[in-house]
Amino acid sequence: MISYLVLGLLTGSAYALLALAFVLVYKGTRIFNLAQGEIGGIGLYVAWSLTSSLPVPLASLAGIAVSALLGLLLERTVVRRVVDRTPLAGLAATLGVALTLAYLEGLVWKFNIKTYPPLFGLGSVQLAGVTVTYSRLAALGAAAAVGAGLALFLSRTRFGLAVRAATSDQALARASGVRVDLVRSVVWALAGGVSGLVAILLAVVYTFHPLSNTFILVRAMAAALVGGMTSLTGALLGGIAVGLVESLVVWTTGVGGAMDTAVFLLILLVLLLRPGGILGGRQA
Amino acid sequence: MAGKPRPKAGRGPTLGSLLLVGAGLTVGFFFPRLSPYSLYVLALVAVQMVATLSLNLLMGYAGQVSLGQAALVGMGAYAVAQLAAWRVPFPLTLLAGAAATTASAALVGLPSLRIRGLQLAATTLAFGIMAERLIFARPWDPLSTAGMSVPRPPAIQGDRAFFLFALGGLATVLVLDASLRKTRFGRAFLAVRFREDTAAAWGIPVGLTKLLAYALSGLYAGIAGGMYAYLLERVSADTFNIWQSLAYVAAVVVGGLGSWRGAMVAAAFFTGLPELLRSHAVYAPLAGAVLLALVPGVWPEGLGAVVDRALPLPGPRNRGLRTPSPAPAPRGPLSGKADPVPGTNSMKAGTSEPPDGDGAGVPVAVLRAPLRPLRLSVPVTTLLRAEGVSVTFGGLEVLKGLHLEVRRGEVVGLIGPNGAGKTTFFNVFSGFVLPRAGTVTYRNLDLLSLPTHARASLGLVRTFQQVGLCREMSVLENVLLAQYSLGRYGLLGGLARLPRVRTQEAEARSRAEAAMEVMGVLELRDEKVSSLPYGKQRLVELAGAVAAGPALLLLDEPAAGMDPGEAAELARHLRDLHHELGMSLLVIEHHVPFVAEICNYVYVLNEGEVLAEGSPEEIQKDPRVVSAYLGSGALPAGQGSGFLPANGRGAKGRRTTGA
Repeated sequence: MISYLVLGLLTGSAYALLALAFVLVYKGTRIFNLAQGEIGGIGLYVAWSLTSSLPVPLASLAGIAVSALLGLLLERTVVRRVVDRTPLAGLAATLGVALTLAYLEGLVWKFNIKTYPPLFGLGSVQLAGVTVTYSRLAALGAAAAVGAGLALFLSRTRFGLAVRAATSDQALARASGVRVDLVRSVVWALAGGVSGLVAILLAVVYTFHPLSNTFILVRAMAAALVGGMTSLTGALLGGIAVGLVESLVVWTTGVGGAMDTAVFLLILLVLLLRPGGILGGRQA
Repeated sequence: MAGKPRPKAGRGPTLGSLLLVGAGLTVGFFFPRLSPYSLYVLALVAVQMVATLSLNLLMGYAGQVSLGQAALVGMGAYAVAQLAAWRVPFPLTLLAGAAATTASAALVGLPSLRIRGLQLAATTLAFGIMAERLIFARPWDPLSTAGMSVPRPPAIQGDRAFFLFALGGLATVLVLDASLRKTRFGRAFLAVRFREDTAAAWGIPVGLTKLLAYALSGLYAGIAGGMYAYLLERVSADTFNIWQSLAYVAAVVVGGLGSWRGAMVAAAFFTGLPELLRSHAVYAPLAGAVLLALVPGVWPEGLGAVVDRALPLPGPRNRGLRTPSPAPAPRGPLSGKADPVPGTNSMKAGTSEPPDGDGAGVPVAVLRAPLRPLRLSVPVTTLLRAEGVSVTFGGLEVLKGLHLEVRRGEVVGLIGPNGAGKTTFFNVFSGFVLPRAGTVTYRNLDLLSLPTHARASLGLVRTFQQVGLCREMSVLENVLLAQYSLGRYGLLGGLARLPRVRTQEAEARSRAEAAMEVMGVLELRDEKVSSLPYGKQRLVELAGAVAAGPALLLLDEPAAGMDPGEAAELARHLRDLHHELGMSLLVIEHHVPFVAEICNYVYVLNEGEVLAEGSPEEIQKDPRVVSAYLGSGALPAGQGSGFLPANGRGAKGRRTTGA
């Protein structure tokens, strides 16, 4: 039971981070970015390749940087063309990007299942009677640190203010001197980096393959929706909730498929009862 | 449309028809020589075309994004497999499977009543994954771990026979789809996709229409699934996974949303390419993914637009629902029996200013025809009566106990400064705002207990301050759309193209033409609304409202954004409607001379209260009204201020009691 809780907390914090990136992009560009998972996936694959020649933490950082760059690149090329069209245009285009990236991963690195080397050796500690490896502990810590850092960055800095201005009223933000295009680029780069981190964190705990990050994105999306799509705190809490629910469902039923059902029912329930999400604003 | 054939647009055989004949001959020549493998691929293409058409209906027509369509196709396939295992005879398996899928799809669509857009898309994605993992991956066949086997019945056992069977399935769905596009339901789908508020205001039950779209999409998907099961002779979870769902989305988007021809071409491309590339098959989905990433931004009309340009179909009405032709095509005589107006036949673009004056020559007879059987026994003098209507928005009292009355045959004005609550008052009448207190009756019916679309179907029709039209559709399509609630046929009748359906559609068309002519926009009938100047859009919206046959027409600032000439023309049109068609009007307007010209009674709102009411002259003399408009003490009351014309032409004096 406890070990399931710990596992749920761990994966949940990764979902929470990805949900954060997802919500950030949604707030910044009003796009449901279905490629958010695979942007991280590319970084993960690059990092995995580099681990053969670099220390694992360094290779991981390089992978995160690649994801951030990829986010920036996509914003400059694909996203800019759909950002002012219908919501469906953004959805379809990012879906195309997600599939393209996944197939590229498969073509370059093969379609098989891979494992990521441990981040900090193989040591472990005992926590409340549960064995937790250093890697998992580090993952949890990284998730918490990045989450807190992002929240502070957005709430306390001028740039955070600019993001919020650009998302609430674009024309007004432009008129007040906010460089909306720059804000968008930075948001996509930031979100890209975060999703690279998430991909690596989860690869340390589980295995990975092309598209595995899109499955993770589905859970992050659930978290974001549960949290109300526009609330960063909501996304964080939603991610941990999804991780815990998932873990508990696996513990009580032992069926993998039940997990997806649980996530589906959770999304459905929250959206039907509170279309704006638990912490979302009035506009859904 | 009309039961009789219409003259074709082109002279002689078009390039398209030649190509079609050529393709037919080629297939006819090669068909006996095709290898079993080619026949398999062709049958697979047909199956995937049907599946893509099912998503095109849902997403392209009705605007409901589904990221789990493969799950619906899978339900059809599993249903057929299970029915076959229960030894249900062959054609019955397909029918029952399609019926079961139709029902499940309607259930899957239930969340769309509550949520929309991207949130809804997320639930469909979750549904697709759930169905794949939980339903399809179950050990259906105790003897085999990989799904269930589905033996082909003797009738479709050979490769050639099966190919013909698949072709038949595709043809069935194409015919259904073509019929659907010509019914009021097909038009309602588009209205729901483009503008839900307009759809409701024109009498379309939005929620029911969405469920209908899901159900019909399920029907197509069920047919596709059944064909798929027999094609593979086996059903298993990996056929109907989330990636297949996403491939359907890709095909619909790349094909061009709502373009059935684009959907078919894209489906053929996505299905056929991997088979053509064979050893390099992995590049096919990659190519598809890149296309999907680029099409929405670079080329949003998709493949359908290319096909439409290369192979134009005769007449704009045969196109996919999505793209009305940008330029009016040369036309033969107007359809519809006995054109009421001489001169319509020879109308050409640019030459038809509507007849001025009292409306002589305007084909009002068509519009005046009795419309809906009134379910009321007592003739009423008061059409609309509101008493003590209060509305609060988040603690702010916007309307404070308003009253208003519109009697049969009146033209009532509702004026007041910005923020007085005029449009909110309208929204109470049409059902977009629920008042906190008060009563509103229409023909002595409690209006507040009725949903928006039901109010429209009782003859209470409104226009919007921001033009309420589907901008992506043509003028004619919009005016037809507005007549949704006049249609008296059901979905099944419409799909079967029963004679009475054709008659009603012809009637709707002639009503639309008459209404467009009354408003002077007939020559724009095939133009896309978004390409028209603002003033014309307003006239088109009015034409739609008139075609809907209202007893009481609510107009929200009809002259907004018009120049004085256009406004004067509009005033003439409105007087025509009032005199010739006996419509009662309730008009919100800022432009006071306009109100004075057409109204016989005016209510002045200020800060959510009725400040004054009376004939235009009385209003003009009321010092409170002048001060509300111009600021207190700005001018001596009314005199020569130009606030109202000295004697409004249309003012008909004090309202008298009684009929």
